[in-house]
Amino acid sequence: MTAGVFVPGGSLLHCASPGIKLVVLASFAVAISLTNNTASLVIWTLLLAIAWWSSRIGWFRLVQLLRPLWLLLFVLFVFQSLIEGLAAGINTVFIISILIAAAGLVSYTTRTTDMLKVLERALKPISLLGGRPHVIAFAIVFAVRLVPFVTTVGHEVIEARVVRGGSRNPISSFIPMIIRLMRETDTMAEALVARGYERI
Amino acid sequence: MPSAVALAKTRAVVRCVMFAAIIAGLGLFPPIAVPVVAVPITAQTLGVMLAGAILGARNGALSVFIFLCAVGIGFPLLAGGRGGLGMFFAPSAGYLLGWIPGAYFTGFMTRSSNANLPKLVTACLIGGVGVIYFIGIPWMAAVTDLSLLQAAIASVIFVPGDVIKAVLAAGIARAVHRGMPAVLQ
Repeated sequence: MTAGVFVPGGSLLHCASPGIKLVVLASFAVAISLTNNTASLVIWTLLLAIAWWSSRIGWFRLVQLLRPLWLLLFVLFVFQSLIEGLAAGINTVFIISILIAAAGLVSYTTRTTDMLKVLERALKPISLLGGRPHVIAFAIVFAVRLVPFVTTVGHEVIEARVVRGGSRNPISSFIPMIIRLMRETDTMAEALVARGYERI
Repeated sequence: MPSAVALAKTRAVVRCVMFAAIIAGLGLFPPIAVPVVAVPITAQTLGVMLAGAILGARNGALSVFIFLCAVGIGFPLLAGGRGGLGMFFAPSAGYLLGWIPGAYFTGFMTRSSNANLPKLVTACLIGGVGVIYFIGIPWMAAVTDLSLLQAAIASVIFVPGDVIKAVLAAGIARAVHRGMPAVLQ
């Protein structure tokens, strides 16, 4: 399971326990949301910049993380500046960017398997309602494993269509693709039960 | 000796898992550019509507939950190869979280539709578009300090694409139910 957004490294942030990182992230998020003056925002930004630098994951990842949002952030900035003044515009854009960057930093420096363990622990309360946290953890890993399977079946269905003289239209291939994948689940369920799945 | 009950339960879990993978797989499809509306349509919300309409309310919502957990713990499964906790702090996070009740409502309304196409389209529109916007718009307004109306206006460009997806999802779901009547148990 190395296909996640995790970037390997040996920095302090990489070595910190994932539980602590998530608690710090949550407190950071609350603190940031309660800030409304630019001066304290600058301090938070500097702290985050130092943390980012110390993790040695590269600044280009910060650009990657925020680039899909630039248009939204720009529109927000214009809106807020016109309605509530320039300071409000800058604050809003900064608060959102800092929050996303901080959460991204935790994801970049925490192994997916460690995150899974934290999630399993966080889901413990659902066992009181009859849910099973380790089944959900298993389901998540199983789902990620099945993504390449889904794309393989998708390509096969499209190719089969083309061979029969049909179009490459992906939409009309959804129906046979989903039916095939759903049929496949019967075999997978039998294989899981045969291996003692119901006893986990 | 595995009992029939254990097999049926396991099958339900595997179907949820498979649908979570289908939603992820739909994110890999190149966004379809619609000529009239300039906004590209990513197929992932189509997957959310399909999850509800094909698996039913509970299992549909569960498969979306599994998918979002995978995104949250760091798998880049959202359209455009995005993933990680940052996605849940973005202004659009409400839409993502809205996928869970969205799939639930789609499934809930599909139950009483009896494979009637207009009713299925309505189910996908209310569950897969209405419910998701109902959570996404106030969330965006709260995060960005915009008014509800402003946040709603910012979302309007996605409506035509979502309506097309709802119609597609209804057609696909009906065909799957016909081809595989046992899937909604």
